[in-house]
Amino acid sequence: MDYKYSQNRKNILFVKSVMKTVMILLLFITLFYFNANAQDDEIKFEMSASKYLMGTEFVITVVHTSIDSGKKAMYYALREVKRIENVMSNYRDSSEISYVNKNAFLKPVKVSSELFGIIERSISYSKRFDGYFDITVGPLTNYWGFNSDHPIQTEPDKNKIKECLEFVDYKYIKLNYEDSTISFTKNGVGIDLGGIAKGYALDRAVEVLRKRGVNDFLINGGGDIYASGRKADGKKWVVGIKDPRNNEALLEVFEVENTGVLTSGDYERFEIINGKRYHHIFNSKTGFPSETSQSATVILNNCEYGVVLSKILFITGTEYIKYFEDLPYYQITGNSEKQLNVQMKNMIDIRK
Amino acid sequence: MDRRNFIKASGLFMAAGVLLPKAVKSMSNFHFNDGIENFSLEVITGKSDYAVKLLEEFIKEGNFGKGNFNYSEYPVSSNIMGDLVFIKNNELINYTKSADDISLKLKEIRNKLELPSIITNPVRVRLYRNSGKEVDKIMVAQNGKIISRIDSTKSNIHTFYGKSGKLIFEVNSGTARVKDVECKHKICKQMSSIKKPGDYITCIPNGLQIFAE
Repeated sequence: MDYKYSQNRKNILFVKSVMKTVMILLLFITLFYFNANAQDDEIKFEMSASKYLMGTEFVITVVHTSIDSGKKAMYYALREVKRIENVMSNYRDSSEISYVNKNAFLKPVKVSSELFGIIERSISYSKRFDGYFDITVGPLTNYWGFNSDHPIQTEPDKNKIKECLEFVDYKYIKLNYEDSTISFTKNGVGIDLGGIAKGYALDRAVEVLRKRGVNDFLINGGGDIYASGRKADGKKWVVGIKDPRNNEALLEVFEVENTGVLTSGDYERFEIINGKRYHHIFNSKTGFPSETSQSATVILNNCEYGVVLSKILFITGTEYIKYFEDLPYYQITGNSEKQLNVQMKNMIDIRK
Repeated sequence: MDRRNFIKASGLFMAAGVLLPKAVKSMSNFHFNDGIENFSLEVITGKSDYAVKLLEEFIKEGNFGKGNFNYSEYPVSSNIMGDLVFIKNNELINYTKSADDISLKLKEIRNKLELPSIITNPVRVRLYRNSGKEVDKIMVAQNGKIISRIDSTKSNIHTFYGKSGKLIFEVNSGTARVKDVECKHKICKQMSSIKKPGDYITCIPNGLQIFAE
């Protein structure tokens, strides 16, 4: 009898514990269901802000549940781009890089860790791409004038370009890691971070937005794009590749999420002189605008490296393909031929 | 807990899970019963932050069905009459003379913002949702301030002036584009034409922004 009683009690306790477990499970399911429903019904606002920065229009579009939070995040992201412009633009006399350009031949110039870092990385890219990417193109960009809004109006002078090229070599920059100083070993050398700073600024703007709790956004910095998360309707952001010779047409459209789409094109800043197109992306070996491509796009999360790669693809075609063969890329050659890899083709095909 | 109580309690949980979100939603103060393709709530105000807060509350408290909202904000340079305008399915709604829930709420917002009144250099705040169809209005802003609203259903040529000279803008069959511009790069001339909400053209040298809403 005692044994039976004890067995029944054990059974009851077992059933009770099972019931408790089921109850807890149901509670979780209920809470999950409620939460999922709440998220479905959450209203999101899509808003944009733009500012003329770094010689182009920066447009940020944000999707967020709070207008105020979205607006503030965009404000701080654009402020960050402005801050970087104030450090890295050599079209601002007061910028840190202008001070370096004026003084680094006379004496080593101590610079911020941010400027030191981007110059150090630029030199490593120069080494990797045998000088086809080179931040000492300052004298050349000054001569052509595309970045200063006073582009060349007459046939370029080959002798002057040859003179400029004498100052173009990243090896003229000396970095001292001990005291974070930069010096030039040749008088007349000038750094122009125009080929990399916009990519860095995009990376920083992405970080600022995410730190402020914004995860769904699109930043367009003069054709270089970063797409994060989703649009307000929950779908992926859609970006396109422009036809370099017809500004009304897109050659391709595709969806992107949490990545940069970095493009170099000869249609952005150019002058037609005596029927010939001169644009702002130079081959640092010849001093003349590269004719290898009309446009080159690389898809990569790291925008700083992405803008460098898009220039390398633009200037050298697929010569350095080992550095980006795994990334989706799309080149329109100087002869208007399309060159793209299977990764890019897959992205386009999904859209179709 | 016996089996009967267990079933009762778990049933209550299940019911709560299914019904509570719907119940919360139905507690909203007001809702549209008819389908909305296009919706626009626009305020010209001197108190833009407060207006944003009130409009956001209005949207969140209301039951506007599925879909999200676009938000835009631009300063306007001049002395103009500030007010709150509500457009539904392309029809201007005279909420001041109605007594339904939405109208009452909009009147309350209008009163809180002390509208209508003449405001110097106000801000235009707009919350809108549309079907993605082509727009009927093109807005032109210069140096961040709205200077013109163009009816894009009427084909016409418009000229604007800025630091770099003249910008000629063409509207044709609902599509708008820069026809010519007096500046060196002419980047805005290269930009695609605009016709859908969110499309825009920027002329940097003249400080002009042209956008479809």
